[in-house]
Amino acid sequence: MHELAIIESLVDQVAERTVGRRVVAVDLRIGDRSGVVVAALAFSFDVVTLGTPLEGARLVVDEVPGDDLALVSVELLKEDSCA
Amino acid sequence: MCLTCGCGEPETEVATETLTVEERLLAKNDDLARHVRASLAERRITAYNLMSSPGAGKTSLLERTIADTERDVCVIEGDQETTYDADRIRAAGARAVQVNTGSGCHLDASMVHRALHDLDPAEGSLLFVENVGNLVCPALFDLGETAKVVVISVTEGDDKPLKYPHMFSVADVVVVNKTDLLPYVDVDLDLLVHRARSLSPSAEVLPLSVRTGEGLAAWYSWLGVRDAVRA
Repeated sequence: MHELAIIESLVDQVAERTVGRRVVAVDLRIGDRSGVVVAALAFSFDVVTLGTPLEGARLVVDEVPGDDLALVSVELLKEDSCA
Repeated sequence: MCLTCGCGEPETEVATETLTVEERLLAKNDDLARHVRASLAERRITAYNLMSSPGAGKTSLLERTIADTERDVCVIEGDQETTYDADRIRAAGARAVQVNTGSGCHLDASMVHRALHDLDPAEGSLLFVENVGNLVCPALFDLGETAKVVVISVTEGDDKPLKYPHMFSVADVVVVNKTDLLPYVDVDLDLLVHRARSLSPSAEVLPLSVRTGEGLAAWYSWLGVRDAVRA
């Protein structure tokens, strides 16, 4: 299932940009002709993120027409959130 | 409440910030594919990503091509398990590297990049990357190839292009194999060709039989190796 490979790549993409930060949510834009099944993506996300800085994060998917397949944004815990 | 350790009042809003990224999900694969494409072009190596369902005849087409032409051909083979296909290519007289994906359903640019280091194709040679047999997943992954070849055999039915539109829409050429079996199957070859063309209007559609040799001349023309075909 290629969604697994896509999520593995996503974890790297997010981890590179958020070193040491706790990820609260990941926002994706997925086109209906992209060849990606959103349900399979969500399933893969839950499995692949275990033990990574993305564990427990919310996956938010904006389904759009077309073949877009993008990581839109990442919501992070503010660094001083724990007083 | 703090999500890190649970301290603070439950009603306290967690302070977060949004980092805008706006990057393709397959950016890492695509960047590496671009690097592969550039380094192949630099060495004048033409690379073909060969995709089909299992058993359509990708390996047989390669064996026949290797036997029939004097061009330097080398192959990266992709399968979940075994070295059967790389063994067949070597027996046919060409160099091959086998990639085993385990549970993976497609080759990606990092696998091809690594395999190219082992294979080290000669300048000006033809490189074929035989993808994992699968009409779905390989279509999404750029390997750095020059062109995508989709193989379908007549035994699979004339509805398959419509059922797997993503794959057929990215094909640069569609090889329709096993035409020698047409008398034994309920397939409308013209309809199959029409459907493949409707999904990729610029693609060549080449009905042929690897077994009998019918139609192979057009495949060698498309590959640009007609001048190197053995007499």
